[in-house]
Amino acid sequence: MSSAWLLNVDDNRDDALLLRHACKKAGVRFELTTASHGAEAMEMLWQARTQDGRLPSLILLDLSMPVMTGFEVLEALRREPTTRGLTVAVFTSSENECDVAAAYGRGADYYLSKPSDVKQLIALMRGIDEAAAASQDHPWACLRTFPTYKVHKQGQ
Amino acid sequence: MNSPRVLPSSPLNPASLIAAIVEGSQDAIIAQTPTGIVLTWNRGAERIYGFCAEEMIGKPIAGIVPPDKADELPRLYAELAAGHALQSIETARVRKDGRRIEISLTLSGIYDEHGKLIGFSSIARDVTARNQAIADDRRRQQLLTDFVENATEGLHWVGPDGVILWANKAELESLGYSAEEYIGHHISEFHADEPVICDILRRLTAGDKLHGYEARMRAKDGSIRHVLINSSVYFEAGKFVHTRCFTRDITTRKAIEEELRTAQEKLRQQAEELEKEVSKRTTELRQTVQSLEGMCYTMAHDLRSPLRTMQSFAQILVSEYGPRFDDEGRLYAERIVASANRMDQLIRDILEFARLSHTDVPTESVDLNEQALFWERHFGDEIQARGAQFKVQRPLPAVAGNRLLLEQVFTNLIMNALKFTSPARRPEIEITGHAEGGFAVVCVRDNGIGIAPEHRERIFGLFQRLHTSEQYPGTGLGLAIVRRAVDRMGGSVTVESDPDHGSTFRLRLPLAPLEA
Repeated sequence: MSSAWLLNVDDNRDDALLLRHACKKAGVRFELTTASHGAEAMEMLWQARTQDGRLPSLILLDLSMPVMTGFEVLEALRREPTTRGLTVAVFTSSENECDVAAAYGRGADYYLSKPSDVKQLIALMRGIDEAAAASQDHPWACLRTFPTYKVHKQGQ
Repeated sequence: MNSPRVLPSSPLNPASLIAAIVEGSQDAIIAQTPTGIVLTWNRGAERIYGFCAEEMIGKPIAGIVPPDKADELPRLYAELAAGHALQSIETARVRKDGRRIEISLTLSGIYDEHGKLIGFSSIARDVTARNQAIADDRRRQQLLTDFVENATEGLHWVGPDGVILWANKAELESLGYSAEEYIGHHISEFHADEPVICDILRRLTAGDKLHGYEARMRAKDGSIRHVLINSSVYFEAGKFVHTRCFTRDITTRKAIEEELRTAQEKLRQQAEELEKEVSKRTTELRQTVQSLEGMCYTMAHDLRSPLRTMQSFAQILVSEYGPRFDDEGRLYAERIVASANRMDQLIRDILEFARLSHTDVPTESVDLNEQALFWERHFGDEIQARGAQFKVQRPLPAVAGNRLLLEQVFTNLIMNALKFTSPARRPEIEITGHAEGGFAVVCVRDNGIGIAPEHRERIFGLFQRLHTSEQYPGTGLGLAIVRRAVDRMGGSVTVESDPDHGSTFRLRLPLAPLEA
């Protein structure tokens, strides 16, 4: 069984670079792929599935992106039977309550605010890595219990 | 003159009969010689003229004739001698007491058996009172006639058949008709509204009185006159004789009223339009402010994203590459981090301020004594580090406010008190509170550097800083947030300050309602 795969969908190159840095510092074992917008993410998913039947363990999804927004990606993923079960955490700088509600309404599993502190970002990546290593079917509890982030989960 | 005719079988002596009549009469009955010397003077004469018989008999009758009538008796005697009858002559006499009286006089000749005139008899009745009454009556009638004819209010009578029987001058002049054109015509010819005059006549016939009944009449020139009618019917033995109708012309008043009404209506419309315009502008303005605030919020929010990136990369520079820098390089990198952090705080404050302006502020009963525990915990380290004295005078009143906003308000005030300390004094901060007229007054007092009087209002404004950030760091939003938060909770905040003794921030907040 190959290692866990985290797909980061973010048009902001800086944020993507920071995430990559945080993963390196955290020494994560999962594979990190970055898509720079929604359409590219969908393309990657389609290719991966058709080539070796692989799907990401977790998708970090930014909301405001060109070509295809995070909301549109969510809808597309939840429409397709093969991608319906994927774990998707919205990862954004927006703390707008409308965005939170809209994200959960379209089937997001988590809603995370991007941390402004690198140390926090590193800690988050470490948490995700541990959760991924513990079990492939892990419910990503670390995202909900992670202390320094606003984690909004519908019904909580 | 003949003797009285008496029933032949009667035992009555004609002479005694005459004597009885003369003496019993209320009238003055006097016999006189052809030259006017009094021969007899009855009791009636005594009563009417005031002279007794003894005073007058044998004296000339002319003694009771007033000077202006001096020639009257000779003239009357002559007429009688010529055979004229003189009955009920209106003349005057003078009483013994000098009072002039009016009399009705009947004179007859007295003849002897040969038909020779031997004297005159006169019968006089005092008609002074009667004449006065007649004169009074005439005067009253004259006044009444003048009153109705020349009154400035129109008056008319209408008969039971609706025909005008009489009208006064004011009525005719007001409508412009001559008496012939008006009187004798049916009243409905002059009314503009047939149903109205029908109603008036119906009511009057039924015995109703009309008070201030409005109607419209047609003047001769075709114009419409507005009138106010007061009317009732004069009934005689239950029979309708005529109406007593008073007609007041209120056309001018009506016109003024109409003008006033039009003006008022116009004014009302204009006020309404103005109100609408104001309301529309207010809405527009509110929308503009809202969109500006929204834009401000979005801008501040969007600024945070690149800033976060700057902060993060600067942090990485310091932590990862710091060891490879020399001291100066490390200082610069740290400056970038510090600046970015300051900017981050500024944006957070702006967002907080904007949030305060357009989010709901639910209020509840908040126990400030409980909050005080939080302040002591929250600022404990800093209080200790600065060697400050922090005192809360308990109990503080319970206020009706928003828990989070109150936390923010007191955090900002205490933070300021700890920040703006005077190097000359050991910092002291005291929080006191009491109830005052439905409000809780909570004071945050410090012994810091104080605020000059000219700056006391300015410090509550946006981005108002009195010091350089090197002296006292800050965003210039802390007190603006305090004021906005207190405003939103229905309270107010003021400051009293003395540069030598420090500042006191005085909060007025609604008191929490008493527990039921």
